[in-house]
Amino acid sequence: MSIGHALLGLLETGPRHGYDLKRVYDERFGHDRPLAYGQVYSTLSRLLRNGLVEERGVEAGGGPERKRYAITDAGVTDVSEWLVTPENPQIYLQSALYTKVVLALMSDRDAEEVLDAQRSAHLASMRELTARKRAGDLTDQLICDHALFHLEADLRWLELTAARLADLAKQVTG
Amino acid sequence: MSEVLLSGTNLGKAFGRTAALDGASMLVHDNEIVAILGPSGSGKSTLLHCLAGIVAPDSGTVAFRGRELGRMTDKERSALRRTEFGFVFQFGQLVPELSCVENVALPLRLGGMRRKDAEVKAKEWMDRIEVGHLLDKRPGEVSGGQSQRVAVARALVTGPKVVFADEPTGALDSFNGEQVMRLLVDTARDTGASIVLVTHEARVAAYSDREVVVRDGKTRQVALAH
Amino acid sequence: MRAWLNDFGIGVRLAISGGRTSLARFVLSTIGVGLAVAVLLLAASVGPILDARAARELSTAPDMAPIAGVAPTLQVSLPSLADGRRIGMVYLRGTGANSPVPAGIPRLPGPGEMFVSKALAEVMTEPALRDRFTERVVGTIDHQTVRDPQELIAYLGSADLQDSPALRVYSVYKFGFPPQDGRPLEQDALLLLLLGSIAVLIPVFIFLVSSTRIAGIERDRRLSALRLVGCDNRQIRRVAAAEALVSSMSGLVLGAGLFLIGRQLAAKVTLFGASVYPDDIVPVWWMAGLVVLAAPVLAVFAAQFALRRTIIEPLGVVRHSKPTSRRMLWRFAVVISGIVILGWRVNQDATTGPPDSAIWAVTVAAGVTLVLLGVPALLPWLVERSVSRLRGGPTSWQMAVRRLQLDSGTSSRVVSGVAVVLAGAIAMQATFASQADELEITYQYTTSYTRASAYVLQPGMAEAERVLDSSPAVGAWSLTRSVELRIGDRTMLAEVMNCDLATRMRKVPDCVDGKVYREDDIDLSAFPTGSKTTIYVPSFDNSSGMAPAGEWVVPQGIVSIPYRDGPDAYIQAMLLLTPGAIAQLPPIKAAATYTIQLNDSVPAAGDRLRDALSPLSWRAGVTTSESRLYNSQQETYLTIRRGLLIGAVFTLLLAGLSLLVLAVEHIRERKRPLAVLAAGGVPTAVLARSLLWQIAIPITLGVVVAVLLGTVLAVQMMLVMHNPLLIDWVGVTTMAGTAAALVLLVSLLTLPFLRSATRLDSLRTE
Repeated sequence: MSIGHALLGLLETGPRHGYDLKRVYDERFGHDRPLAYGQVYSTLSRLLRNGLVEERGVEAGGGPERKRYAITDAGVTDVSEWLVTPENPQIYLQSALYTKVVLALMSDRDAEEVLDAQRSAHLASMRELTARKRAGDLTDQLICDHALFHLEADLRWLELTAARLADLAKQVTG
Repeated sequence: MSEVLLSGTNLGKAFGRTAALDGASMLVHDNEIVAILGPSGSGKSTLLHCLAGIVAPDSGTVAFRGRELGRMTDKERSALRRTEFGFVFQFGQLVPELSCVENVALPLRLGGMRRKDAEVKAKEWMDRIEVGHLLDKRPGEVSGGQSQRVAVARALVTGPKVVFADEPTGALDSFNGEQVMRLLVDTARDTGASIVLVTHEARVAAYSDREVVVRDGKTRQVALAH
Repeated sequence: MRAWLNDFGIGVRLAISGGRTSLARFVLSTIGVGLAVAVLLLAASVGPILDARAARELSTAPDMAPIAGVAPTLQVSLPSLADGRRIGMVYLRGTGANSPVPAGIPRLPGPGEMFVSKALAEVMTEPALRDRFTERVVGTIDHQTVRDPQELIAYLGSADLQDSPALRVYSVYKFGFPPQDGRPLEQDALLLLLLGSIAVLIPVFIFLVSSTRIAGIERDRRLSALRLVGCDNRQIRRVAAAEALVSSMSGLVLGAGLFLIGRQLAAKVTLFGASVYPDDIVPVWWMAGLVVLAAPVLAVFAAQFALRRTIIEPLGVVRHSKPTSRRMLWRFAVVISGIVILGWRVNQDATTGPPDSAIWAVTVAAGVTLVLLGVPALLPWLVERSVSRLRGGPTSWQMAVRRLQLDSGTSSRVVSGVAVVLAGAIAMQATFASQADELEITYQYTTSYTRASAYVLQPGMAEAERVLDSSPAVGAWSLTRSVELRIGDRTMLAEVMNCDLATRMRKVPDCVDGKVYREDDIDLSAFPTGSKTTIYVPSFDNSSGMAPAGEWVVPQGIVSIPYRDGPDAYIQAMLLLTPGAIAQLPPIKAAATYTIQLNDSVPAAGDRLRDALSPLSWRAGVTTSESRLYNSQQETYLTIRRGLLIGAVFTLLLAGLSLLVLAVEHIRERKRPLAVLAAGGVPTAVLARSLLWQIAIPITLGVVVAVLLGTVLAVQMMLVMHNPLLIDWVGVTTMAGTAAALVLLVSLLTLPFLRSATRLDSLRTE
């Protein structure tokens, strides 16, 4: 999962200080693994370099923690593309997908589109696995089934999330 | 892409005040398996019923090979369903008092085939669907997976162009579900039939060529190909 | 005890709660039991109804025994018809101040006055009756003295009613007899009554029992759910009993309600010419008590009996998949023992003569009951045996046969209800046919109103002839006189009639007054041309009823006319004389008979003729072919016949209803497969036909059994009654046809249910 895209997404709701960004990120997505300050600032400087964010005034007192960052137009485009690009179907992806859904909701984008894209990608993988399974021997079948069940679990989570989007949106924006 | 076999355009259908379908559209091509996905109550089954001509939509049109179903008489629609379509539902579709082979032969006999011929053909199909040993059993005497396979045989016995399957594995465990799907898909491929598959299970949907997602009575346009 | 109550509580809850299907089942059972209870309560009221009717009739019966010091009231009853309804016209004239007054009116009507029954008062303004009465209505007859609420009766006052020998004018010294025990029925009549009541009541009980077993499969499924949570088999039985009890109790309440409502409607309804006062419909208390007890007890027994064949297991119901095939022996034993009892009765009667009526009635009733019970005993066995051999046939047929092979018990049971009625009806019809033959009752009424005859007393003849000449309802008329021509002890009948009527009515070609005509089949060998005969005319002066009135010589040139056919054919052959051929006939002294060919372009010409002759009041009576009088024995038979027909109609309705309930229940149970079939393009017609077959197969077999046992019973009845055997095959066919019509009707009525089952709703699982 890309922290850069996540920070960009958070900046889309308004300019923030670096410290602010870390706090919001941890609150929403960090859970038991908070971001290190260094990671935040190195990421921000990379984004700055690529022209995806810009500095927007420095408050009195100086120091890197007093800089405010804002997203650029290029940054917005980048976030949009990232959001609808499905994650490569793999197990334990929900944290990335979750981040995308929350950010899409926060930025008033169509979160369902995110889920649709992901579902589509998942099903494509599952089709491949199903085809392999039907052609293969018992070992292949068992291996494929294992993967299929995991992917199915993702999709179940996805459908559950889809069903609760309205509630989630209230919580995220409210 | 191959020829369009069945099309539903802008379908709307309400039951009382609840709108089950609200502008749903989809195409089914020749020899294609389409899964209709969506949460409970999204209108999946209603979409299938509209496409199959079981239910007349309040608005929009359904066409099979360019013929609008809404312009046919009820008799013509029944005949169409009997000859060109096949159906597999979740459960309880076999006539309990008829034996399995009689159940499978039923659509043939209604098409005017003689009893002997119909039962011979039904037996062939039951062998193919791996339930040839159940010929004279009654539906009440066979397991859920077996009766579902008998239902598949009945759906395919007339050589339909489209098989409509509404949660065909809904009442089965994964193993039996997989078997039913495998048989359904394999035989459909062999005979060149298309399948419209309503399911809420991803693993079942994975047997399809593509999926259509229904939410709140609308078909969702999936933005990306991969 | 607590546990018992608890189990009952569960059963009660299961019966009344549990969603729509459960409610539907409950409602169906309730309706079924309710209808049966209502019919049984009605049956329990028959005795009181008959008593009350008899008492009403007696309250106005004239007593002709002279009482000293009483100036009699003259009374003559002239039945009349209007619009097909019978009107009892009673002319009264008091001969003194203390002349008796019939019960129900305050005083004798004066000349030009009349009292009418309530029903007559209501219809008097109708066009058909408006012109019938010239008298003024001065009051209503107390309904306590009118036998039938729909009866049309008029007490008319007359200034000049004479005791005429040509009319049955009575001198009445007292009206009304105290209510007394009804004349005991004759043995034969009693037999008919027994046969009929048993034939009507057995199906009601069958229906009662099958109603409480509606939706057996569903019930078993729910009971198995109870097993899952730990009910033992005994508890299950108690739960099932409670469930049956609840629907039978609610049915009882509904039945009582239906009975009370039906009671109120009774006065408005006329069935086979009888209607009844609501106040009279009071069941005999102990019979009502039996009904109230029988409904729940039978329901509980039926529930227990049904569980006998089913083992309820915790997970789903396990039936004996191949139930032990029905035994044949005891089924035949039932019928045979019935036949033996009746046969023994015949022998006993032949050797020692009929014993006292109680024992006689009990043995005969037992025999009849056993033979009729043979229907529900034999039918399930027969259906099972026949169906198990059926193979092939069209799809709808195959579906029906397979269904019956799986479970034919329920349908056979219900059908046996219809079959019992049928068997009883066939036996009764045969019995009636031979009784009627003996009593010379003909059921073939001529409904054509083309002919009428008017009976007019001599003082009214001139006026009557004026009316006949001028009334548009009359096409042709003639004074007709029947005379006997005798030579020694040989007698020849002759009818005198003018050419006008003879041409029209007897198809005499070129009729000339003064000529004599003969029918082809008449034997004139004893009356050669030129022989001298003595004319005899009807007379009220001597006991033989005929008096000599001159001589008549058989003329030359008697013209043959074709043999009559049609309604006149039953009159014996005779000579036809035109008035000119027998001019020496003396004028009429007492009363004249006019025969009238009605003008068929005038609607209800018969009624119009009665209107036109009404000013003659008691001096003229009009008979059209459909009005006839019966003697009391004939009347008894007709009454029994009427009552049994009413009962049979009710029972057939019940049977039809229970067939309907069964079919609907069947549809409900296979709603899903039916909907799937319809979705897959199976025409509804195929499904409908399979339902039709499913009902028709048991019914056909039921008819076979019914005809068989009905005929057996008829033969036995004839033997008991010592009557010649006469089976009314037309009647049998009609009855069988009625049963077939019932099947069709029920099948038609199930169509809407089938339609709704094959609609999409049944497919929706979400």
